[in-house]
Amino acid sequence: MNILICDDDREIVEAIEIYLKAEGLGTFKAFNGREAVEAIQTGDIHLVIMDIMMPQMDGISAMLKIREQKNIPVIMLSAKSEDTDKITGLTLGADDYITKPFNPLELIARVKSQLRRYTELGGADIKSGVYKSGGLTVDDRQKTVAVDGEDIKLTPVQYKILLLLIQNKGRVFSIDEIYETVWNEMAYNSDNTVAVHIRNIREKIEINPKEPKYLKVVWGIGYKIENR
Amino acid sequence: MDTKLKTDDGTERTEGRKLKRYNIIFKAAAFILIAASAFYAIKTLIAPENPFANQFYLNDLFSETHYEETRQYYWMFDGLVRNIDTVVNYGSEQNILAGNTVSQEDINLEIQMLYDNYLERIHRTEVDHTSYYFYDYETEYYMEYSEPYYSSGRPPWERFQAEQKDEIANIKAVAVQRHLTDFRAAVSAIENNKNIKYYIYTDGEILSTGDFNEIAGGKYAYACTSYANDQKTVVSQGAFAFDEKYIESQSSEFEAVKIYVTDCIIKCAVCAAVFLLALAYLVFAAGKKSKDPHGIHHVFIDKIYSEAIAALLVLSGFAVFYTGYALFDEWFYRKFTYALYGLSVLLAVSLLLVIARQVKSRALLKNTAVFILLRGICRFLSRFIFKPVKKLYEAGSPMVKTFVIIAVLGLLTAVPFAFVITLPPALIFAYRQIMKYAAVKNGVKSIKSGVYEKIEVKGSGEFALLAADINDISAGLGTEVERRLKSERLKTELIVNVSHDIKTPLTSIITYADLLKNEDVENEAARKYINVISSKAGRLKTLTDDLFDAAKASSGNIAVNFEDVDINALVTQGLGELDDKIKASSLDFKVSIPNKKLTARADGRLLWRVFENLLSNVFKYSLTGSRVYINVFGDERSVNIEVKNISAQELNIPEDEITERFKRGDSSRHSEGSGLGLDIAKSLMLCQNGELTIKIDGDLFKAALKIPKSTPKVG
Repeated sequence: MNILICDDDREIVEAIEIYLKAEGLGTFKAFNGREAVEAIQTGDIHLVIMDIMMPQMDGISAMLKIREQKNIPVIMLSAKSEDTDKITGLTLGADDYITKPFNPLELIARVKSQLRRYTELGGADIKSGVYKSGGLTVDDRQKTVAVDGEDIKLTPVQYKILLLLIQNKGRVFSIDEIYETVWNEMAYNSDNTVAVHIRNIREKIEINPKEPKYLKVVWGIGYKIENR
Repeated sequence: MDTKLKTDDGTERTEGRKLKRYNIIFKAAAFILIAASAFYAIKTLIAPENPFANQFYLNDLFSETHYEETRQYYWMFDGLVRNIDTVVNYGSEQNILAGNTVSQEDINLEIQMLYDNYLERIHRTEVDHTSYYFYDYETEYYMEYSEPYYSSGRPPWERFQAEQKDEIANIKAVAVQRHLTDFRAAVSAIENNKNIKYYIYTDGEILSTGDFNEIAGGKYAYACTSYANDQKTVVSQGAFAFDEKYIESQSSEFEAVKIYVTDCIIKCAVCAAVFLLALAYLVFAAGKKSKDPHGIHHVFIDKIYSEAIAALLVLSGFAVFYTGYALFDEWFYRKFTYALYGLSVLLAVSLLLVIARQVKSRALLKNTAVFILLRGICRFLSRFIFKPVKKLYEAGSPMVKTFVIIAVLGLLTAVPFAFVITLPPALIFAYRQIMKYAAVKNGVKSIKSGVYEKIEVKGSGEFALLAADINDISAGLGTEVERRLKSERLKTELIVNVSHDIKTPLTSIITYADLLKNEDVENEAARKYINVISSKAGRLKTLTDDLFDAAKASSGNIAVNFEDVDINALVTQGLGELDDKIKASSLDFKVSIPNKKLTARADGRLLWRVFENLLSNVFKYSLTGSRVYINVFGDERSVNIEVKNISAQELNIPEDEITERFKRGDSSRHSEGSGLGLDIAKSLMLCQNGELTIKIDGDLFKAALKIPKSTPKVG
């Protein structure tokens, strides 16, 4: 497995290289967008980590060039932390977006997640009783939950909540609705049981629970799983 | 000596032909033409070389074609007819002397006339009128009735007969005498007329220049015969006939005069046309000069008052008329009269040209003595009365102004019916003041709403001064606000850029510190140092992120997605999210959420950020083991979240400063946190039209969120 790291800051490139090598991954280095595009054409590369603000050719342009040729995952790495920047990057074809300064371990986790999806789960069939959202898979026949192919252990209540949400992808459930469906009782007092369970599910299925990819909080309304 | 009073802003369109149009030679020629035509016309009219001009009536000359139709012929013929009739009717001198021509009716008529005269005379001198009133039933008025009262008591007829006995007796003799005179005059008039043939037969005597029948059958003849009672015997007979040669000569004379008069009239018409054309040219050219065809040039005489010019013009007009009239029948000093006539014509024309120039330069009215006098009076009044009053008015304070206005109005009301004059200007004045006041009011209103527009008030009154002052203030305010906004924007930009630039090196620090941790470092101290670097790098990261958020939020440059947010759910969700932290802390959370659903109009994500910031403060600064109260409640207009906790440190900063950037509960700044949490929270609340208030009561720290309630949907 070879990863292309592209950033105009050499120290960051080298640091990331150290982490990736420690995980047993091969690395290519590029210090601007043009070098990245060249490296893709010559080397055998399975994933790209790309900064946005770079000299000669910026990360977005480079990513668009790469997308013309290859379907490999691209993780954007940028100091631009605003929502609009993230949305732009993801819309134009990035598979993930990490803001600087990042936690090295989170970066590695995301890289591995993308690689698994790219290599192992690329063409998995969708069977009945199996629900998927991105890398999240809930198999209701075997009562298992997996994220990017890795099995996750959930409590029965947590499983019920997750199943409810993934069976109705995109729909927002209020706390009371979730309570009444899962516990099968009337919701009297608004205690935070559901909220705490959700938080705990996120701790298990999300790489960064504060920026959830799958189980999202709609503040003041409820919870949902993104339809994708 | 030309005086150039007014010149048009000359676009110098001086073409060759225009140059000559107002040439002095042309003007002189026009003057000469005027004089000549006036002179020739009068000379033609008075016609000294035409001896028969006075024989015929002008009417006949124009309307009749033959001499026999003229009045002159008619009267001549008619006079002869009356003479013949007189002779024939009276018969003869003997007949008259015998009293046959005077009838008793004639005498009675004469007496009646005498009596009438007599009555009139005595009425004037002697008669008293006694009058009384009576009621007239027809007109329903009292009418005056008077009848003559003769003071002598004797009837007037008798008095008349007595007093005028001689006159009455003489009536017949006087009439006979008059008839005799008439008869003789008629006979002699016929006999003396050389232009006729006549025949008179009276008293058996024939006076004749020809045979009766021959004369009576003539071309221009008349005959008359008086018969006796038997209707056959001729008592008297008369006839006359004009000599045909005489009539022919008169006829040809009439024709000649007629031709001559027509000729005169044509000449006069031509003269009049020439006169008028020349005059028109002079009026048109008056004041213009070839060198400057657009300006109006004046000569010194133009400065004389217009009334004097007009009076002189009228006088000279009369002079033209009188000298012209005098020339018709005054034969003495004829040349002198001619000279006077010509001079007065030229004078009249010159004066007319003066008026033409004044009209052209619109100076006719301004040049009148009346106008100059009125202007002088106005200037005098304005200089010595209006201006001092105005000065007093303008220099004074509003008090003085009010006093002046009331004093003037008071004085004016003392004059009866003065309101006719004072009311319109008072109304206009009041209207203008009200409009000015409205302008100032609207201007202040727009300044209040943040639009720094200039207030336009004309003049130099109180409102204009007020408007000018307000304009100064608003201009200052406007630039200040603009400056503040600009500096705020620059500050935000700076913070955003700096935090971007910090992030890249910070990434390296964090990453390499982490790498170092994983290395086998033997030295215990070195390991400790690495941990310090790692944790402080992490703190720096938090600080940078917060700073960035604070800058974004306070600049308002943040997308707010308003929706109906269930505050109960939001608080529950938030507490759920932080459940592990709550459990890990020693704090006792007392949460009060009403069962009733409370929805607010806000952005749930931003509201969560605010709530999270507040709770994060609670975790950081609360006294260990103390209780934390979270209350959710709604009122009519808003939904409120209150967070109360006991501070671990003494809160030594004022409430209004605690939300400022980089303020922290402990002024020594030892604790973790950026000091930006409350600032971000406050800014985010403002972005959502909400409000964050902080209350400090001893160690009790109370943060209150106020969010506008969502308007319930109908249906």
